[in-house]
Amino acid sequence: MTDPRRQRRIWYAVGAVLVVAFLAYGTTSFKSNLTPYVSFEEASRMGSKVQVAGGLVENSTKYLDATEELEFAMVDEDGNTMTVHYNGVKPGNFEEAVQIVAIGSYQEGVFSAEQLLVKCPSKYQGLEDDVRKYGSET
Amino acid sequence: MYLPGTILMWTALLAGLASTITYWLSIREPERWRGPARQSYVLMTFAIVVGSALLMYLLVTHDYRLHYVWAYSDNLLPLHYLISTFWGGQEGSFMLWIFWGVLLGLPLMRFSRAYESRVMVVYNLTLLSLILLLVKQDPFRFHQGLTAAMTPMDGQGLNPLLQNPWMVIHPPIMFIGYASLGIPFAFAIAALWMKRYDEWTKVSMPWVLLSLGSLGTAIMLGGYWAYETLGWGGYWGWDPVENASLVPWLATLALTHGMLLQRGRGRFRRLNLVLATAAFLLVVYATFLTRSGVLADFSVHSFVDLGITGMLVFNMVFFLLLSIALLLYRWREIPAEVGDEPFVSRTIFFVVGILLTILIGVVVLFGTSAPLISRLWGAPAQVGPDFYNRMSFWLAVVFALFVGGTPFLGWSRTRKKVGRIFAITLAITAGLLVVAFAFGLRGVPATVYIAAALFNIVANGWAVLDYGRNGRWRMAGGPVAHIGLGLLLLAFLTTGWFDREQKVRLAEGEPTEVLGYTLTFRGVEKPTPQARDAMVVEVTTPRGQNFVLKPRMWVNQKTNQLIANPDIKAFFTKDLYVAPVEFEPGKDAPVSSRMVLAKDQPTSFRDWSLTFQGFDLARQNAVPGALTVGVVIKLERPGAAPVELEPSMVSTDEGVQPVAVDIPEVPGAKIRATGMSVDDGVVRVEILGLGGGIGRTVVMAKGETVNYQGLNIAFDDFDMSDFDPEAGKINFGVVFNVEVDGQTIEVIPTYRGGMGGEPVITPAVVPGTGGITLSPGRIDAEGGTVQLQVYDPSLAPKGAAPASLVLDVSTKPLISFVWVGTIMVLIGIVMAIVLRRKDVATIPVEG
Repeated sequence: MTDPRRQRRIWYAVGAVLVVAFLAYGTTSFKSNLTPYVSFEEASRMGSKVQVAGGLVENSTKYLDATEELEFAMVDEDGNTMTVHYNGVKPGNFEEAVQIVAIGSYQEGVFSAEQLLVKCPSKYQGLEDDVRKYGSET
Repeated sequence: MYLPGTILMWTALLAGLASTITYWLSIREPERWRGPARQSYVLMTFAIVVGSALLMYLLVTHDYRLHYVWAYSDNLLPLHYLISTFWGGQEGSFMLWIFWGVLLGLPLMRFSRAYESRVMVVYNLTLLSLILLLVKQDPFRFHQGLTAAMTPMDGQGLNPLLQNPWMVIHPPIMFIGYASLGIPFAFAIAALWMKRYDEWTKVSMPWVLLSLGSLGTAIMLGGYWAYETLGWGGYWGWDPVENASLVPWLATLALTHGMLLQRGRGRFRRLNLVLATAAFLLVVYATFLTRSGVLADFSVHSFVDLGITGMLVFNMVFFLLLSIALLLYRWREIPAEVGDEPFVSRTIFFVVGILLTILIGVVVLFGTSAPLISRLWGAPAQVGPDFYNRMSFWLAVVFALFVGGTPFLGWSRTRKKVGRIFAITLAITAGLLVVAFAFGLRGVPATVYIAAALFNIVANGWAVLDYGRNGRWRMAGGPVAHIGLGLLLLAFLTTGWFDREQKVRLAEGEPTEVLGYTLTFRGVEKPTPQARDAMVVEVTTPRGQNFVLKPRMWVNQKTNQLIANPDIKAFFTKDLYVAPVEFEPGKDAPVSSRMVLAKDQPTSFRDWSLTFQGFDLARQNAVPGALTVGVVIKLERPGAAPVELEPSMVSTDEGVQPVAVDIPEVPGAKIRATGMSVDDGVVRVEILGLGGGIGRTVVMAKGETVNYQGLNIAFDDFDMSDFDPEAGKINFGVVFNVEVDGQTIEVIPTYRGGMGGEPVITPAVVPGTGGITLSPGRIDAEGGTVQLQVYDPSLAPKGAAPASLVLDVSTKPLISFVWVGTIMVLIGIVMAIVLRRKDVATIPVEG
């Protein structure tokens, strides 16, 4: 054991095993944590964690006192609607969102979102529209 | 385009090119070319500084001919936010980056010693790559096709979420960090170029520490802004834009320690060169990720592609290939470390710490790049915060143990006589852990994690004292920063796992208990018409302490966005965090009566008498920017002392708002003034929210009796004593016999009709019943029937609802440690800068 070369080799081996184990752990949790973008219809079939995108159905937002959740309806490009429940604070600009991305899973008729991403009619977006309208000198 | 500005940008570009070329030449002939090279660099700096000042001037003076000014600012912004619009958009933030970049280059030229020419060639290239972006995407461009008369009068305004003091200073500090990372990169490339692999670490150490400090500060400010402004209760959301600044920071952290190791033990030459280039490349990569639009679907910070993606990719690939090619070319000749170190030595602990830092960085980098990586086998997808938390948890534990162990070790062996200190450290850690148990720490992983963090804090606390005892306080930067790290690790767990959260609906005026606190919603406060609506919430703590929190929920007039801002009460051990979720305005009680009151003429309502006594202008400025007129009304009621009430009318640009006042002793009842005529001396008032209504309507014939709420009411007869149609008097009374408390009382409402005018029905109150009133409706004199309406004031008013506020209430244990920990890390870094700056002078100058 006092042979420094041998000792070094042992440490290298231990380190390598740890690194490999970590990489394996990382890869699996990376893969299992990926949330693919799917359509409403696929989301309702899959039941696993996914993300869906759509517009907010106007005036569909309400706060459910009983479950302390926000409820609203989303509509996708094909016109399908889906009820979403979200147990969190309503993001800023929610009502004015051009698109909402909900990350969660479909359970018992509603999509339970863990996270909402709100795409504002952002100034970036608005800016682009105006550029298209007026043109811009570059 | 705005010519002076664009000319300045081109000047900067050309001067930068000139500086690059002349510095290249000065590699061979420093004496001849260094002068011109420095001068052209100064010219570039001058052009950029003047250009930035010009853009700032145009923003502050609202020159809306410029697209950039129009898109990011407006007339209403106060000066400090107007200044921050400079970096509110893409072009301006690149401008800020360049601004710091050229300024940092001035001291860099002076202090880069033997490396100057090559360092400046590379550094100039990094600046030029940014300036080129702005030559393409000119911040000084005009709206196209608009004549002078069509110049917009007002701009689009700044995103209201960015109108926050922290967001004024966050970007400038962040970009100091970004800009300064170009410096170690330039040194690393120059070191490879010159084959001088050791001195560069000493010369660039202060710059690396500057990057570490400024990026760290900026990351913390960003987190604090999110915590204080966005309302979801956290300070870190693993958002791509946040990660984009974290990964370069981790690389810089690894580099800092690698450079210490190279300085102390002559190790890690290769790794340091890799890390220095990687830190810079990661910033370029982060810029690409967040500015090109590839993450548009995955980040709340949605940046739309401005058409610079191609150039960003080019920059990235150019610097990447340059670094890799040079590293590979020199790899074999870079002296490698020699000799072995025992495992329990500071050297190996450093190595492990550096590797762990890199691992965490790689994890975050992969997670952030998930939308790009997953494209390889399917639809783009991202990973959630869970991935990062799971991955970092055990890494953090091991990390804390190694950082905590380092103070006990010398570079190649255990320090002498530290066995006792080590035992004491473990004992203190165990003691603190017991305290943590008393405060509710549970669960094996959490316990292991907290133990590691506490060990780290205690061990490095001892290290600080040890330095201090030997009078070497100024060398304690490292341990101070590591105590900060320990505090951060503690707080990450307590705020993530032990926070408590509950949503609650608060009806106005009704105390409600949440998480042990008693919360009472007191309505909306809007002291001026421009002010953001604040929800006034009174809080009583479990210990009886009282204070008021004002979370805000307001609509940005410009963009019509609803914005909610939380409010926070910071205690020593935790924060109370309230974020508004939803506000429902109350429904006003229905109007019970409308009446016109003439000055000094008593008017009766039921058994009350109201007298308008005059206007009160004493409080006309009570609401800033509006005129407030008080209306003084005297109210006399049987069995109560007369009171003077003063409802008021507030006249603003948007119209006249009545402000109702409560009527004492009648819960829910209010009186308000809705109109006035000063000339006629009359006011129109409304009484709201009085309970009461028609409790019973029944048609009765003579002799019939009805029972209402235990009250027997019998219709006796009509009283025709004043009935004389000939004289135009169709007046009669309707006689009811009512049994009250065993006595029979005659109650006679009257009907007065006749020629001209509406008939007047005067209802009659049944005495001793609290105001039950009898009123005849339709009367059929021939058939001898009368429709009786029983008015009951005790009926609950219909339709009234108090305003209500849904709050997300949470407690954040030990969140102050996040801020304290970061500040300690920063203090440690500053101490290190002070310590290491002297090393620079030991390197010979060029030539």
